[in-house]
Amino acid sequence: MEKVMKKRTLVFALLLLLLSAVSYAAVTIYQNQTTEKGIAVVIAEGVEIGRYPLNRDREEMLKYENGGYNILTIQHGEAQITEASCPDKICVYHRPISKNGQSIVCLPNELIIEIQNAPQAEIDAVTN
Amino acid sequence: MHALLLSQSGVSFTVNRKKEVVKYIKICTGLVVLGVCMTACGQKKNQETELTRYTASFLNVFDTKTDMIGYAKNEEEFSAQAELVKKELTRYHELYDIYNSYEGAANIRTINEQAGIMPVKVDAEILDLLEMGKEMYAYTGGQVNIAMGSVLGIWHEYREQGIDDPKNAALPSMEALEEAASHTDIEKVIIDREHSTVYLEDPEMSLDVGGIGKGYAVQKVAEYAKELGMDRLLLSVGGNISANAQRIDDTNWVLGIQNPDMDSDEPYAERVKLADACVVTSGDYQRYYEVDGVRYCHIIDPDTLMPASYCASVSIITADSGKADALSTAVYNMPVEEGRVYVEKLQDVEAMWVLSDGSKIYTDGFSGYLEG
Repeated sequence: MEKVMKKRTLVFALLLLLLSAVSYAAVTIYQNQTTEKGIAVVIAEGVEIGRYPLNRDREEMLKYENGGYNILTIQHGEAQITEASCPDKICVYHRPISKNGQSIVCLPNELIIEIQNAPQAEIDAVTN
Repeated sequence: MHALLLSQSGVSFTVNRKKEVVKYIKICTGLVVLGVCMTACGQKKNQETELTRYTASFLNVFDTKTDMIGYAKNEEEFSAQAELVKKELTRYHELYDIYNSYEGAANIRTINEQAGIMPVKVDAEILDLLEMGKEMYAYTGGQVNIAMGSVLGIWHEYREQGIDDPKNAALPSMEALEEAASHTDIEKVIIDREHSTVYLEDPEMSLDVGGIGKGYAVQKVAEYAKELGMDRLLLSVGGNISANAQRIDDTNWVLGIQNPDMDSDEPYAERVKLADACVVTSGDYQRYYEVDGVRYCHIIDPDTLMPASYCASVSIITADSGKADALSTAVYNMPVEEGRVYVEKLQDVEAMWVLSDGSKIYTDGFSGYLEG
């Protein structure tokens, strides 16, 4: 009886150890994945309308009820606005972004693109 | 397996079995503790204070983007603080608005509408701002003038049209500008503290607080945030930045000064480190329009009535955001060397200019804010 129990104890302990090791590895891999690649979060008129991972190239047409639009392009792990209906085109001239704390704004279309789950940018804010 | 084992024990619990169960529990507890440690290490929390860094952004205040970086116990706490800050900024924005009216309170637009007609009863926030505007007019030798609304209004109209329809972009006539400039006497802005009123004596004049209003509001709201307990806060309203204290690790906030050359690979002209200070930049590269290939920015020199073009940008660092905003406008309107001599004479104010060829000029004390 005691022997059986001891064997059970061992098997049970090993199994638990294995389980915790696997889950720890999974969590680590998941965290690395999300923190290293980053996500472009699209906020229009104060409402989040989309999240696009930076590790997948794509072109997203963002259309608004008033007929305005911005085209979000994700390429080489960076997000940028490549075309827009706004008159000033400040969003189109903005450099591509890829780090936490960076953002692109289109005031006429009330659009913000910001980066989440990426490494922190070296600077906290920009004066312009 | 675990559950099965426990259920097997039932009523007839032997001593040995009890020991085994205790063993299992010990192992389980150990593993759980280990797991908790592992996940705790994975999270980037500040162990010392248990505060996490959060950011919030919103549009619609002062026609630009507002960014807040702060520290809170959790997201709910930070969201609540950010909401209060947004509400307060919105209040200032509405009071200082010259284009729109809002229900419930007279604002700068109301004062303009009643120019030459009657005094308007306003909130203390407006009286304070206008008094500060008068102070800054004297302080800068007239290089920032809140009573220049008539001239700025003409430029605003031509700029908006030029941006909407670039092919037909045009410049206002000097006759029109000079006629408008004859209605910019700041002495005719009558502030009555006792009755809380403002009256513009000249019916043709109007206030435009664009050169100081945002900076003044940032200063007041940063102070308000401190009262709310946001001791460590970076508040940026369209690049008009106020830093409360330092980051959570007691290092200074690191700020990039935008490179005016938007095509350059280098996004920043310079990086500065700040604690308990404000920085404001005035430049020609964001709000402008072009006529026949020449760029005309939104900052108008009171002497020439034309957009200033001595430099691509000037950044001012000082303790008060309202003062920094007013000075950046004023110094942008001065020839660079004249501006440098002017700022060197001021106490606790530093400046950096980026010229149109990309070269940089600093006041002597500015290097104290540079990285490295």
